[in-house]
Amino acid sequence: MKNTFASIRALSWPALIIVAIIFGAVGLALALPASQTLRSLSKNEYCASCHTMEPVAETFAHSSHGGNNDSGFVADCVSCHIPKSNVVEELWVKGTSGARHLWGEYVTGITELDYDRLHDMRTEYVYDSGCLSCHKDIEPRAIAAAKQSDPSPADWTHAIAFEKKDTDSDWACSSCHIDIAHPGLKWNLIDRKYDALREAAAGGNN
Amino acid sequence: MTVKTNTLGLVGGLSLLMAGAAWAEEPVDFYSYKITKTWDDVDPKIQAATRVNSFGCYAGCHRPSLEGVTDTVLPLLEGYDAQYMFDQWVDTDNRRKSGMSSEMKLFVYNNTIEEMEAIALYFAGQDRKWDPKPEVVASDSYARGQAIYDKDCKICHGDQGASEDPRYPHIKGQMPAYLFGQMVAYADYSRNTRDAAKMVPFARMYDEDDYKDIVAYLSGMFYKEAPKGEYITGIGMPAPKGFKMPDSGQIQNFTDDFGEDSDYIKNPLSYTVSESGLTTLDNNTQLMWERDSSRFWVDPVEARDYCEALELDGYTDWRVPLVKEAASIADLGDFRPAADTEAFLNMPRGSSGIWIFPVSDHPDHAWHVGFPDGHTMGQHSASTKLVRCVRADGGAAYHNNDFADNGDGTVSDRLTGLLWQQNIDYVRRNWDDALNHCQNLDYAGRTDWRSPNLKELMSIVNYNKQAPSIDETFFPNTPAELFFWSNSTHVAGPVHGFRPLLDRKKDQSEELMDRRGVHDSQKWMVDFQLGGAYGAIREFQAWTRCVTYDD
Ligand code: HEC
Ligand code: HEC
Ligand code: HEC
Ligand code: HEC
Ligand code: HEC
Repeated sequence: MKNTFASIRALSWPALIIVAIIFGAVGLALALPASQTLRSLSKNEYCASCHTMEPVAETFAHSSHGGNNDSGFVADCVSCHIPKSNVVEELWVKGTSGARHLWGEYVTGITELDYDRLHDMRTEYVYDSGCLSCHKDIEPRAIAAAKQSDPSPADWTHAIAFEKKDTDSDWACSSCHIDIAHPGLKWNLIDRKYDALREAAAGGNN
Repeated sequence: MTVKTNTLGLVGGLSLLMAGAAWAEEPVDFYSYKITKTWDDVDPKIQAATRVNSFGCYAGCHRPSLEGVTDTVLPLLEGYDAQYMFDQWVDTDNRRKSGMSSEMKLFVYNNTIEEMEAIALYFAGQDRKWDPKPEVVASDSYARGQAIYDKDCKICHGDQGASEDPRYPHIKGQMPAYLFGQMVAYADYSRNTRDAAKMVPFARMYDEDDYKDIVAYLSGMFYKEAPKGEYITGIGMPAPKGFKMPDSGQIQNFTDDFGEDSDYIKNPLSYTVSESGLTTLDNNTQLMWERDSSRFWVDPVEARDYCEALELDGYTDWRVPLVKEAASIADLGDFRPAADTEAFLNMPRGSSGIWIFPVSDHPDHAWHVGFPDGHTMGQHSASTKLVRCVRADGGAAYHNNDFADNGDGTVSDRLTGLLWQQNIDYVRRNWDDALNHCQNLDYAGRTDWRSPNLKELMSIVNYNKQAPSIDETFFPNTPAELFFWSNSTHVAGPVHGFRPLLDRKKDQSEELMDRRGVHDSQKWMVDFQLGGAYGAIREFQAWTRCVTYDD
């Protein structure tokens, strides 16, 4: 698949726009939950199949949600990166973000994630509804905390978070919980960047 | 891994922390390291070395809690949980950018994980003093601070900041300016350590007036604002007519290999003292200097005002020097002070230095050149140093380059007459290998490459930007991480570094001129995150950018 896509880079602009539209459609089609192919495409291997996604997948493996826990549990990438709300929103995010990734990977030729930029906008692509679909006890515990004399820091903090998170993204889950899925990502990306530059330099590009 | 213990003994200065073992690990290893030891598990030999190293932290910058100083923008180190301190320390490299944190980068790289772990454990075992001032405790500010604290902070940080939960730092009795600065930095996202995100929303609930109250409650002291001022930036200032890049002044030999600093003598340091004896002209840079220094200690605002008011030899256009200007009068062949003492009277010899502009990565983070050895570092603007004013005809300054991209992988600087390797090879090597790499380099059709001396390497820093502090149109993909080697050696070296002082360069014996047998001398390098210039042991693994004369 990669070769096919790689050849797209050589296409002219009008062709690229058509390709983009097709990808938009493909992205949407990929999102259809009923389809069997689709299910497999939502799996983590699919997400990790792109070069650009390697560092996030690699760091994910060391994280509490990526298998580095007592039970060996591994979350799906999409469980955090696609909202669990209603079908329309899910489809929209899947379609647009899927298309954006394809576009980024194969057309604009993004080869590395810009950590600082993506980190600053993390609450836009990590969905509270995804977290809460697994962490079902967080909200009831937070509500109960208000009545306790000695709540835990987590419950007490979450109580404020539920009060504010819909109007202030500082209180979204991913605003506070950063290292839960891709610990050390910044360094991983930095190391890769210099590895790539070193290889390019050794290859004789000056 | 072996940890070399420090042989220096109880002497001051930065070099103390830097004389440890070489940096061996990858950044990621530091990042994920978990301390499982206690202080008692630490090898007694490392324990002893750590006690000595802790004086390095103090001698350099931090104040010991016992001393009971009333304010410093740097944290007291005692009383933190060891893992917390370790993680914070690691994150000062390119992540934690609050206040003066970037200044800690060197010490991340110059210590092994074991050394850092031992230091963190050592300080975790020391008490932080709690000595609130009665007038503060009695104030309204303190009471307001307590109300805010008990409502929104106590749950995590414990009673009055005396946290017993290792996840949340112990903040009771910490320095007021430090605490205040951290609150501001969380609120503006510039303190982005790995756990900062959990703190950020709480800092953003309050404003700076509230922080002052909270700080009064947590420290028992009032926060005092650091002197703030508008300083020159150097942007747009033309170069002095007839500017020539001065040599570093280093004429001693430190290695059998060809390519070190003293192998390239081009424009030896040369000065003319005016008839009145009040000013000194640098015959290379054409900058005119105040021959004496301020003779009293000033903060950067006072330094600026001092120069503005100065009148010497009929000139009134004196100003505080810019970074490269002050570094240009360093004589790297001399020590304490690293400057010509005929041309420059009263040069500070201790660990202090003279102020230079522009400011670094924070408005309160001002540069200075330290003249025991010629290092360039940042310090907080609440501290005091000497100042030595400078001027040049036509408002000129040595600050801006005159680069030309030659299109063949080289960049000319028409100001300094140097030709630079544009694309480095991203290989990290020790100092000796860096020398040889440049000597053997066949690049852009030339083979006359060499490793730059410290002044040359600093000449391509852009002190008006950070991370990387270099013009990326000419030098793309310059790593802000780690450091770049120069071919200059820290002339004093650990052997002669402190008392008794070496003879002045002009009186040095042949033996002192030929120091090829002395292995331990540190080598100078430049950081392109901010532009600082420091020494490191020669085994350190840094980047290399080669240079040659453009003629
Ligand atoms: C076709 C290659 C490719 C695949 C497959 C892919 N991605 Fe991406 N992804 C990218 C690229 C390229 C970017 C960078 C976009 C940018 O920087 O604007 C990206 C960015 C992201 C981001 C950052 C925020 C954003 O949306 O821009 C998230 C989150 C993400 N991908 C999640 C996923 C998940 C989850 C999957 C699997 C369902 C996946 N990706 C599959 C290429 C891919
Ligand atoms: C438990 C929730 C969770 C899961 C599961 C998860 N992520 Fe993430 N992801 C996050 C969070 C939180 C961030 C923001 C991290 C940061 O800013 O450091 C993030 C950031 C990212 C980014 C942007 C990285 C950048 O440069 O800042 C990408 C791309 C991404 N994730 C892809 C993936 C992929 C691919 C998977 C599956 C292999 C995955 N994620 C699984 C929570 C998750
Ligand atoms: C697919 C289910 C699932 C999703 C989605 C999920 N989690 Fe979790 N999370 C878990 C499980 C299971 C654990 C316990 C892992 C273990 O045993 O350590 C956990 C543990 C945690 C922990 C404690 C461990 C740590 O790394 O600090 C935090 C915090 C956490 N999750 C936050 C989040 C946030 C925030 C999100 C959304 C961005 C999220 N989780 C999404 C299942 C999930
Ligand atoms: C204002 C910061 C903040 C926000 C926003 C936040 N958390 Fe937390 N969370 C914490 C703190 C603090 C803890 C306690 C553990 C710690 O300090 O690491 C915690 C702990 C947790 C834990 C593990 C421990 C436990 O008690 O279960 C989970 C899971 C978790 N949070 C999920 C979430 C989810 C899901 C959201 C979004 C609804 C969220 N958090 C929003 C700060 C926050
Ligand atoms: C949910 C728990 C939590 C709450 C509530 C909280 N903090 Fe923090 N605080 C933290 C954590 C975690 C850190 C360490 C963050 C880091 O790594 O930078 C921290 C760090 C700090 C620091 C820096 C300490 C240092 O030594 O550098 C200060 C100062 C601070 N908090 C003050 C406050 C104040 C004041 C409040 C109330 C307005 C508050 N905190 C509320 C969790 C909390």
